[in-house]
Amino acid sequence: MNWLAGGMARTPADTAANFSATAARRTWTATVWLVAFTIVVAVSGYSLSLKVASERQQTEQLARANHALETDLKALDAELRVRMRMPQLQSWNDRVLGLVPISASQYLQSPLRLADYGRAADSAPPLPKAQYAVRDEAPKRAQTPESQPAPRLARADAPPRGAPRAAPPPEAIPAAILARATEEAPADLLQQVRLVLGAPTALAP
Amino acid sequence: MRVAASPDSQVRLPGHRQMALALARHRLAIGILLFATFTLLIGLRLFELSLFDGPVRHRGLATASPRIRADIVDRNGVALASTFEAYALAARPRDIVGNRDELVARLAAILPERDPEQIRAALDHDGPFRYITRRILPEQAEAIRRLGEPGLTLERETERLYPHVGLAAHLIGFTGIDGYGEAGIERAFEERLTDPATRDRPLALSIDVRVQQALESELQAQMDLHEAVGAAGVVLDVKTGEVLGMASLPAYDVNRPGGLTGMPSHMNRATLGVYELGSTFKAFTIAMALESGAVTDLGERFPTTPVAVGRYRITDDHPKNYPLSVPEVLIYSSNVGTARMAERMGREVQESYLRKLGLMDRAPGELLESGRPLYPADNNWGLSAIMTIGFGHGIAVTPLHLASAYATLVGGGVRRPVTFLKVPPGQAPAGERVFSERTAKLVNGMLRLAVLDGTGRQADADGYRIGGKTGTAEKVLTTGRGYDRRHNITTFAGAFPMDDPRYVVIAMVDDPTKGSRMAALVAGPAFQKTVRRIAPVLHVAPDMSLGAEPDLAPFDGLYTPRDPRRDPNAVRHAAMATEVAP
Repeated sequence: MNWLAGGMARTPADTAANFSATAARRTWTATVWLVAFTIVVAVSGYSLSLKVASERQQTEQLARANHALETDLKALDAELRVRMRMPQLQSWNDRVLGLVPISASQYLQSPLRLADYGRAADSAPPLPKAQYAVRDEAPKRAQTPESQPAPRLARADAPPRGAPRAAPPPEAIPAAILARATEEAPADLLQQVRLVLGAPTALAP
Repeated sequence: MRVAASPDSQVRLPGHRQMALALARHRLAIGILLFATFTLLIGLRLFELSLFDGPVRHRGLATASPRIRADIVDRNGVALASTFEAYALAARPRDIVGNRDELVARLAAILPERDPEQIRAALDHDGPFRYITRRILPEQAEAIRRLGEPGLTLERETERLYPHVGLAAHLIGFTGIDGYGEAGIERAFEERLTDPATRDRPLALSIDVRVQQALESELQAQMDLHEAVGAAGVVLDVKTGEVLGMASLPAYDVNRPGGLTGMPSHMNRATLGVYELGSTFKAFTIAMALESGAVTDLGERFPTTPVAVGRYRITDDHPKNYPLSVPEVLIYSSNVGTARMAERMGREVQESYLRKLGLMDRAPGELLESGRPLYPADNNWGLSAIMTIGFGHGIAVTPLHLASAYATLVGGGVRRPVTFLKVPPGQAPAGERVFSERTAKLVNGMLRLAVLDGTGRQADADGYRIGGKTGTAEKVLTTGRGYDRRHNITTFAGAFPMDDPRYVVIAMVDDPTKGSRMAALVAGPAFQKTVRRIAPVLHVAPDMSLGAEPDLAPFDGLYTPRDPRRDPNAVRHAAMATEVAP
């Protein structure tokens, strides 16, 4: 209180008091800073810890869920394996499927032989078999030998009298199948040819 | 601090006070430094723990049982044995608080496979603790927990499941109630299966479940057809020594092994049972004679007239009444011919080769159930023993012994160790040479002829170039003296494809009682059907052309072909005759 009573005159005692006040202020400021720093560090550390704990908890939950799924998968896998165990498959085969081991004659030397598989060596080639159906089902005009002149096709705008209107002009037929076969065609092949060429027309026998 | 707090009565000088203050400051600074360091260390450790502690550990089964075991798989990764979580239910009768009748009814509803009387007996037991049942499922355990009965205890443990039930039962084995392996691979690899360092990885066996199934089912069918006592079979890879399939019938359910391990169904006939396997040994005798130089000419003729030696009289089962060449001795399975070859070789040669083939050691492989062969004692290995061993009598070995020896014979004369574990590609052992390649090749040709023209015709499968030898041996009387003519051991030992032998198959049927009792009609068909089923699995394609047959030229003119259209030598002669004719 000396500096209030004694004006501007400074005594050693005043100087000492000022020094003490300054030191006290510094100490107080340092303490404030220290407390603030401690609070900041503590809050930051705590929030970080919370964050990490939360992440760890989620990770643990995931790991637990994974483990449960692994167990379920293993159980399902085991159940499937038990149901499809080899003795069981053998039992099904013996009772239901009746599969037998492949025989030596079923092995082919190359994939190209697959086209010939099942056909006897002395059987007729496939083309004449197709001709069987043509002989029975193809229109008569198509069977005309090439040496004879082909008949003129009727004009659509001026059909000859008595000609059936529904008779379409025969489509071009490959020469290979124009030759008449000498044998009857199988019934299933005849049916297939009917489906492809259509029903017999008025020109057909 | 102690200086600053010292009593006032002590006299101090000004300099002394300064020194005390300095000392106190120093101590204070050191204390603060230590405290800060300690705090820093704790902080760093917390930081490390919170951020860098690695993933959460949830590996394996969280069970209390220490007997967690590795899975067992076949060579293609198909599971043969797995471990699952299970529970054991126990009762502490003194702690039960509810109505016991009601508790028994509830437990019986949850555990329908348990007898209610047994549950009641456990609940009424006088002792402090008693198991009600072991290995119950987690769902059942949860239902029991919800009963809320404090007198019931659920203990976590592991359960071993074998998905294929009885398939390869004797090979895989089983575990006991405490989780220890008690037979087969489970017992032989106890440490490998339970070691924490290795139990995360499955143990891969050499067997293939498809081969195993084919072998077992065909043997079982033949066993049923002939009402036999048992059967055994082995499929062995000649090049690696791996066992691809091993059957012992009758089998049992490894999930519920029950009973005692000494029961007949629990005995591994393929590795533990020793049998006199008869004429299958003739191939060894011929190979020994050729290799040792006792027989140098394949065209040498051996008389087939019966031989009397000691108290035995050796005769042929399929007498030809004329002297037989070396290949004919094997083709027609001449006891007299092989006995005379053995006589010419002598005991030392015979014993040394039997030892080299492993026929005088314990059964090969890792299984602990390995049989020791029976052979004459040193002081009883006289001429009669030499001659009878020559055609497979007087010595008893396991089917696995026979498979290993045949693999040596057909595989170029090199013996490789037999293993039940998968051999990584390219790591097959080099093996030890027993026979020369020439001898092995000659015997391979003769084994093929034995199937084409001899006693093994029933074992032939079109296109697979099978070679092998039948063996019909009479069983030893239970008194141990002499043989019982009414009970046979029928065996077929062979390999395929004989142009480059890769797989050895042994089919043995023990004591067929219905129909034929000859190996050609009992074991032969089982062998043939097995090969037809396993050959596609093992990537062996059939080849019907004569060019695929092994080299049979050395035997040309030394035997009479049964079917000239299938015999390579006869076909070659016919082709030459056709070329010359024009």
